Amino acid sequence: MIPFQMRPDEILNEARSFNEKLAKGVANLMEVGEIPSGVTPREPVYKEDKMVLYRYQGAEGAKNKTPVLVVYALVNRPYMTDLQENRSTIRGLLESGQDVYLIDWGYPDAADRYLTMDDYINGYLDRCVDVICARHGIDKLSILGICQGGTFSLCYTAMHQDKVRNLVAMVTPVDFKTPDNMLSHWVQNVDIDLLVDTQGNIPGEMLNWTFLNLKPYQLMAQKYLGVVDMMHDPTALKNFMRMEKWIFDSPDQAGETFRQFIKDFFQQNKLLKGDVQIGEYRVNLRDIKCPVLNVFAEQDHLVPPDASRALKGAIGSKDYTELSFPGGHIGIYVSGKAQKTIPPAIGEWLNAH
Amino acid sequence: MSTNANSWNESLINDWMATQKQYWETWSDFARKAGALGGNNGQSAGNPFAAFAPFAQNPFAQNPFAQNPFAQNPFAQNPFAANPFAQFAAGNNPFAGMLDQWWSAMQPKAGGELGTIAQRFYDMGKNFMSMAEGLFGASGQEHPEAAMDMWMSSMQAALQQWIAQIQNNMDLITPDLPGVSGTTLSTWAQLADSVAPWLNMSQNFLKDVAEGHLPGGIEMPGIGAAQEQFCRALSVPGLGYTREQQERVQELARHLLSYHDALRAYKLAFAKTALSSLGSVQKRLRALHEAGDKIESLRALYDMWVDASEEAYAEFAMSDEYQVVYGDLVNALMLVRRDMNELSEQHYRLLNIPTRSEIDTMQHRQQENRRETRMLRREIAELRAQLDKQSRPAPAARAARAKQPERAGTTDEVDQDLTQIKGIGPKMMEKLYEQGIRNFRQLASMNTQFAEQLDEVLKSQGRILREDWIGQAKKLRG
Repeated sequence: MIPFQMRPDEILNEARSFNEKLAKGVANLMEVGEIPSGVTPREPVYKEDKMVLYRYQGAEGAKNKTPVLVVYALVNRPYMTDLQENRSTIRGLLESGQDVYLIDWGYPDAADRYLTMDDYINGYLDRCVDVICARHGIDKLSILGICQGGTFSLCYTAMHQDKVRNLVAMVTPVDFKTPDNMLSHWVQNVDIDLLVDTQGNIPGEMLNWTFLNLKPYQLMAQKYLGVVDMMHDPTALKNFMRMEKWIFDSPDQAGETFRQFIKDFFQQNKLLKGDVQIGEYRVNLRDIKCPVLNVFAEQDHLVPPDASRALKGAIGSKDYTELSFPGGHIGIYVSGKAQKTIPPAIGEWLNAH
Repeated sequence: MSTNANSWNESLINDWMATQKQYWETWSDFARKAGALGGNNGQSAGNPFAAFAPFAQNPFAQNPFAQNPFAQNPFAQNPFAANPFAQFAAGNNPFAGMLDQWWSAMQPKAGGELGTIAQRFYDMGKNFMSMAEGLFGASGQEHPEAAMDMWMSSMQAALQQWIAQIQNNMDLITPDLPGVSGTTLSTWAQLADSVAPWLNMSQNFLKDVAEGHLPGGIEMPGIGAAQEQFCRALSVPGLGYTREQQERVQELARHLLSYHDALRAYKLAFAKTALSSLGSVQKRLRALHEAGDKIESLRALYDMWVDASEEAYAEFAMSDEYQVVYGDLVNALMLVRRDMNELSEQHYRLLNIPTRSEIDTMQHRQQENRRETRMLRREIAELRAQLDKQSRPAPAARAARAKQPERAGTTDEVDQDLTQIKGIGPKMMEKLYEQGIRNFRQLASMNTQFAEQLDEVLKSQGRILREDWIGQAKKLRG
């Protein structure tokens, strides 16, 4: 027995109204125009290979004299933090009095396949830290790491604690084998060596579809149905398109870095065990002695909150604070609710430390 | 307007016609805009729809219900056609079919990124319209609820049929979740594209093997026997000059077989999940029914469907079985790709064309060199800074020394007046000092590469080499 109660005319009505909305909406879609990759003005201050270090403008008179370096993941693009004027984590940080720098890793190509985690963390990242410190005449700065960039930041701080004053980890995986981690569950039986040896770099598109497949019904179908209801509004549609552009803007992953990240972190969960070797360093989270703010999302389907919570008790610092947000992995950067709470809270914490 | 939900009458048909008119007008209006946007000469393009006169071709302009396949027995023929979400149902579906016509006119005009996005809306719209169509058909029945039940069970039957096909190695369908395109398997299928001709060939070949036909006209009775025989044949050691080539091809064939096995296992697991997601939908429907609740819109039904399916899918995706079939599939595909790469490389080598693995070797070495260069530069900078600290005399001592006549080249630790070199003024000397270059000996010992790098740092536009500072320094060093 199907508890479905609709008359044919009602079905027609709904179908008609759907068609109308879709038709008008797609017309609006064609007029959306150029979608910018980030909105807050910034200037490049250092370049190396495909990597660019940016400093956001309006930071010169920053209240907080310790600059903060945003370290984004290699997956997808960092303009997630600066999507639109009223949805910008970067802007929120600037308004809280921070001097904000950000690393854009660029789009690796086949010639970059031998870039290792050592190259990324003890190379690019470390040199960016040196550049910023030299510019400001300081020995230490603050780091804000996002997702995989958060994991990189944890490793960096453990290896170079003398250069980090404060560490903020946002939606950062620490325990890669919590029972609810679907990505981790999927890769356990994949022969990563064979994959990287055969494939070289890992195509961004492949990762992208993998992420969409975590919730295929919602992310590949239902989402678009929801948008049809607001397509008549050009502003709302443009904002949807910003997000859509971001989601499908996926750089390839340098083969060697992917190899180590999946094998050591996802498959063998070495970070918590203190077994990760990066270049000449053995990474021990206990070597992190500076104040740490751990920010995570309660409905995160990519990095389950427990994967982030594992940081508590794993580091050597006594100054540890958690900030949990009732939303998802992306919502924590772009939702209106997050906008009002998260960047100001981070700013306040940084100012107090 | 009819108050009897189960009967079709004149006014309803009129409403339907009005819907269509409005529908087409909106699309046409949009297509006009798209035409003006897309072409250099939007005016002459006119109405792109004029070309295919939608109303003339619209099968519903006459009697929409006569041709509605659902009005008769929607489930008798192709069970997949009744699946409201099925990608391959399109053919006779008027709701989704209209999107098709619009799309074919619209597609060439929506290029690039926007086209991709529009495509996603189109895919989703088609699925949603298919569902609407299914319900529309069912609601026209004498007993809509029975029709709905039938609709569900027909989907179930279709999936079961598909499972049977997979088990017999007979299916040729790439599975997708009902209502979603671009799921995991199609993701990997993109990677498989590069070896597609081989996969297709082996697919047909495997069908033969599965049916008991071996190459060379040998017939083997019984499923499985032929495959076993074939695998054994693939293990025969290669002989003679082309031995290596033979062995590689044999290996490729073995890996193709494993890939198809892995694919079959994956499809099977996938199809079973689709089946269980139907069960999950039914469970929710039952719960609603028992609670006395009703679903009152297409959208509500769709959302319920999504929730139920997502739940069933998540359970599957987190199962041990999925971990195994997913990994096996990826690994098997990679083995095939690796074999293919090796075979092509062998070919290229014969033609003396550079290969991927040679480039890899070069890139690997280059990356190691770059790493080493970075490290050395850093070390040099550190050493220089140390030297600098040691060599910098106290301000008083420096002032005293300035009065003394220069004694060129005695030691590394003296500051010398570099302005004696033609081309170096006081400002440039200061810049050189900042870089730790403080005397003629240091300048003289520079090699060309270092000079070029220094030139870049000083922004001196090639003057170091052009004005031969190194040569001048050598002379002044004495």
